[in-house]
Amino acid sequence: MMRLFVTEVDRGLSRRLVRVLMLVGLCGLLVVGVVAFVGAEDRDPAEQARAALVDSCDYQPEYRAECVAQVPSAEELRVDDPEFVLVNDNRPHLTELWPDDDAREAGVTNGFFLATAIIFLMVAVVLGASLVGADYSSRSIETLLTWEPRRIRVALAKLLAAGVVAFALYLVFLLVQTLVLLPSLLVFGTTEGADSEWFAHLLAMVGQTGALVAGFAIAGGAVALFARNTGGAIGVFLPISWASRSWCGA
Amino acid sequence: MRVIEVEQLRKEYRSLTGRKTVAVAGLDLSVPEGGVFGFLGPNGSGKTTTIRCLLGLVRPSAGRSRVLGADSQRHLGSVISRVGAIVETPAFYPNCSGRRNLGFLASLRGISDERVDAVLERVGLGDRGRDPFRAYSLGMKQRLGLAAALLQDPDVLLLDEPANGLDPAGIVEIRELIRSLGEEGRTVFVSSHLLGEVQQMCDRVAILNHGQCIAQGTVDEVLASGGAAQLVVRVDEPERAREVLERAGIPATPEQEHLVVDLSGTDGARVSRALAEAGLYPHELSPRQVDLETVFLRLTEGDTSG
Repeated sequence: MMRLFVTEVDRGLSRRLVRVLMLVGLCGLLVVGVVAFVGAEDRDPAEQARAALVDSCDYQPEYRAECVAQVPSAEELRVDDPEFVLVNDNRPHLTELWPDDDAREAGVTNGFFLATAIIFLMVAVVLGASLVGADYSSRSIETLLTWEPRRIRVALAKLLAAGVVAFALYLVFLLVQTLVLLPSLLVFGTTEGADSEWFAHLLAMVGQTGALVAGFAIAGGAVALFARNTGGAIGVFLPISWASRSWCGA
Repeated sequence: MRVIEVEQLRKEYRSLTGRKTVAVAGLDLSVPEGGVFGFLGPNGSGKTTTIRCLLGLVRPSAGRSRVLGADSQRHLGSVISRVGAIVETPAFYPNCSGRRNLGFLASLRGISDERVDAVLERVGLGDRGRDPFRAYSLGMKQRLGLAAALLQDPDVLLLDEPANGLDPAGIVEIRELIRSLGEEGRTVFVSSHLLGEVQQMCDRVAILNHGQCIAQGTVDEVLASGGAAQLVVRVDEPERAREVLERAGIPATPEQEHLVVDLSGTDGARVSRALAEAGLYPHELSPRQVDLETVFLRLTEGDTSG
């Protein structure tokens, strides 16, 4: 059973679909990393807030000089309107990977890992359905059954492998995503709010969504196993995976 | 020891409209250990379904089948490592190379890469092993299927039309390979409609028609069951020779420029003597061998379609 499972994982990782998905995903992540780096701000948040106020004077060109003269200094803003300063803090935050409640209250609105998780729920369905369904469309299941006629073992190994492959790919993507965001975080960013509670939250969310990703891959594979094709499984589970994005806390 | 046993095997398929098709209708089959066993039958006679039942790929409607003593439906897993098989056109992962496909199977049993290379070499795919399976011709797919069947060095091989799609040179090659596998002491169960090939490589045969076995035994036994041998007689006066033979109680049939004598109940010496006594000296007396094709067509009443 173990050999069968390992072989199925090996076969899953050798699939062209997996390689194409990884290539597209990695290219996408690279773009995210570049955009994050180019668009990152390293100015003091109070300075950014003041600059935002100065920019807003552009809407009244005839009174622009008076308007700019009335904009408070960065120090005044920091003391008098900390919330406005928070809202205008555009430095990359480590907590943006997956903001917890505290980070959201502190104005962190992006959630890079969260976006990846939602995309991966759908990718997992396609992956699971394809890993199992391709065996039927290519008829290679018959060849396999002449080597291992115990169908329940074969089905379990395939579904388990689909779950493990999806989970492993998900973790790889999160790791790559961290690596591509690292330059902007190191050069411009801040670890403000990234305390032990946030790390615990991050690990919990990654674990929870990882389990969901594996579960969706297994479910997609299970439907493909019964339908004996890939398309049916994707048709059934893709809408469900989209609807279930709230399970990721989105 | 009986390596393959089939008892009253029956397989019916039902369509969505409830229409019933009987693929195998109470088949009995017994394959002894060692040698090459040919499984013949017209298209749709149930050969592939029988092999599928033997491999547990389909569940029979009735009856039972055993391979190496293990029930095909329940205990095949315990002997499957001693069985190699090809069912119809071998199917593998199209985007992986032939070698990689064999590698997946090899890893199921912990078989080494050297063994993978050795079987690829043995089936003549040594230099094409790294090409993707989708780029293979039908003949190459058959060879890869054969390589997969040989990979775990099995005692029993179930080969469904292994020469399908091969060119004449490839057919000879595969025939010699199958023959050598049988001589190594393995039991090779091979279905085919290439009767000349079967006759050349098989020790025993079974002929299937409408899902039932209509002849089974050694090739000689089956040939004998298909009718007596005949003698071709070439003589200067064929019509007078026919009359002479008739008078001697030897029925002869004119055929083009010669006579054909049915050897049931007589022999060549008696034919020769009867003609010589009448002053007729044949310049050719040659046996006409009944081949498997003739027997096959006689037994299946000519309803082969390919």
